Amino acid sequence: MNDILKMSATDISRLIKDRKIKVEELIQIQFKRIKQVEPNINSFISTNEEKAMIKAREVQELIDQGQLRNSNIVGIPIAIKDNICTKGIITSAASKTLSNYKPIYDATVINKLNDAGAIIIGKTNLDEFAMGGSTTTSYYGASRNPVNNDYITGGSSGGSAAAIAADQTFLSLATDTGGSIRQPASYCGVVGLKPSYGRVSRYGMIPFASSLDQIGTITKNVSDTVALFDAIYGNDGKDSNMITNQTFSMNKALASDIKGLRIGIPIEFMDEGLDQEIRDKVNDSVEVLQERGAIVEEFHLDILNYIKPVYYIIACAESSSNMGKFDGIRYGKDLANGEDLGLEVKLRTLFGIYVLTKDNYYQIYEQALKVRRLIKNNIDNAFTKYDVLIGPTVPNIVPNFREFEKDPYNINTSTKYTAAANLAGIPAISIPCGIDRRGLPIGLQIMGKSFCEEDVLRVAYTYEQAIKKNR
Amino acid sequence: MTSEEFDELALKSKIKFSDEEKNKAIFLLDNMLYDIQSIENLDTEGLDIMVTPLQLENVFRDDNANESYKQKEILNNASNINGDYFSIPKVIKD
Repeated sequence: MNDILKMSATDISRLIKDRKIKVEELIQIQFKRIKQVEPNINSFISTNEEKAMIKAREVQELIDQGQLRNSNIVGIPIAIKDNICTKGIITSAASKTLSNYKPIYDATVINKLNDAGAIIIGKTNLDEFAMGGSTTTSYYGASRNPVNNDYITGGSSGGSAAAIAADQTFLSLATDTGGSIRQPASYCGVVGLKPSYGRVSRYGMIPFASSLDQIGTITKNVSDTVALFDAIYGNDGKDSNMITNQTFSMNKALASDIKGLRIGIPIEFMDEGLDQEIRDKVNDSVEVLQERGAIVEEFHLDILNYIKPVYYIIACAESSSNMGKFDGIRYGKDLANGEDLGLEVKLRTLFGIYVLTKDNYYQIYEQALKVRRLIKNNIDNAFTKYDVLIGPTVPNIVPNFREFEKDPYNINTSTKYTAAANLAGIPAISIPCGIDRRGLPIGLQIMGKSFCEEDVLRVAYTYEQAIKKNR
Repeated sequence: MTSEEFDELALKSKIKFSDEEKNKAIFLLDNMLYDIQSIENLDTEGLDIMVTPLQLENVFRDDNANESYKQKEILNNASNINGDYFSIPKVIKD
């Protein structure tokens, strides 16, 4: 059983299409694994075995009829972050406020997954309304890192990352507003992709900060990321913040060739705030890429020092506006009583309202929007010299629960490393690049030009293949 | 941030805080306000604001009639309904 669970989604999907494995069998094996480890991990808010088995039978019938041959994720179990709407399945955003909310429609990404024959097995845990970096603010309790249960998973997509790391699913969907896919992917030792802004429809995603939010993927390896991204990207008339006529080449993304590729390393990512062990692992990874023919150069990108304040002002301002819809009339509970909402969400809402008040609007909010332009201009300028930018995903090693409770806001230092991609709208991926002194994973972040996911994925894939070969 | 300033802000936000939450929130808000000072004096003269990463053009879709959601389904998520309608709390108090 465990052999199958260790395989990649794309390999399993091939076996399913060749009718060497039945979808129902795979789903049964998957749920056995979920039940086995879930008490230690708490990566799911809900699972839907009955519906998954019905869907498995339907997909098997289509396969038997010779359909779905073009899908690379057919019959594959997938877990969905619980802030993405699933028709008839409670979508809580890990908040008591929405603990009884059953959407009457599927998000566009869910429709796309259904069309590709993937099997939705459950909804994963997150920080309440995706606000946080630990998955400890969930109404449903904290998730635990599968590598070592004494450590946090990171967040906000901690459940999606942990479920992959614990072999509870082959694929998962998550959301990223300031690092919520990449930081937990780094902490749990899996691959997390935040696509470009406008690449994947957010229709049906419970919004946090609409100009930063993006749905993305968490998987075991880069080829699975490519297969899942290929299934969910593309224009959607229901999300007005999208580019029409998009293309994506799986072949270009999975070409293990980076000869002559120009890689820039912002010195501000490698400064004194970075843990020495992480710096060493990132440098080792860069050497691997150099050996494969990449041209690497360090350069200054001073504007990165302003990412954190700009991110918090914009994210909180937008979230305070988005939270206004939760009035308890059409669905959910009214936020105003204050009892059904955690402190982190209340705090961010309050801060958002503060920066938007008449006295602060121009001095704080508008200034942040101008600095965001400066950030985008500086990053665009860097991409005139480099094809991709590389650095650590986070600056600190994974904290255990005791360390986290002592200083819960220390993890926010990773905002400087992750939120640049959200503010500029560019694609970024975190891939595992080593283990720290306590046995917890370290992540390498690769960022690319807007809508150039192929470049980011090609570098990630080349690195992954090189490491596999070295082993 | 003073206790009075916090109370005024909480009133505007229409979210209630317990005393314990209030003390913690004031401390954390002070930290956030300290953090954001660093961008106050950054030279942004002549820069346009950036509200979204994409330069979007207005896109209109064709006005096709599709099947709409069933009223009963929509009302199922409401905490209070009155017949075929959402029931809302009294807005104008006595």
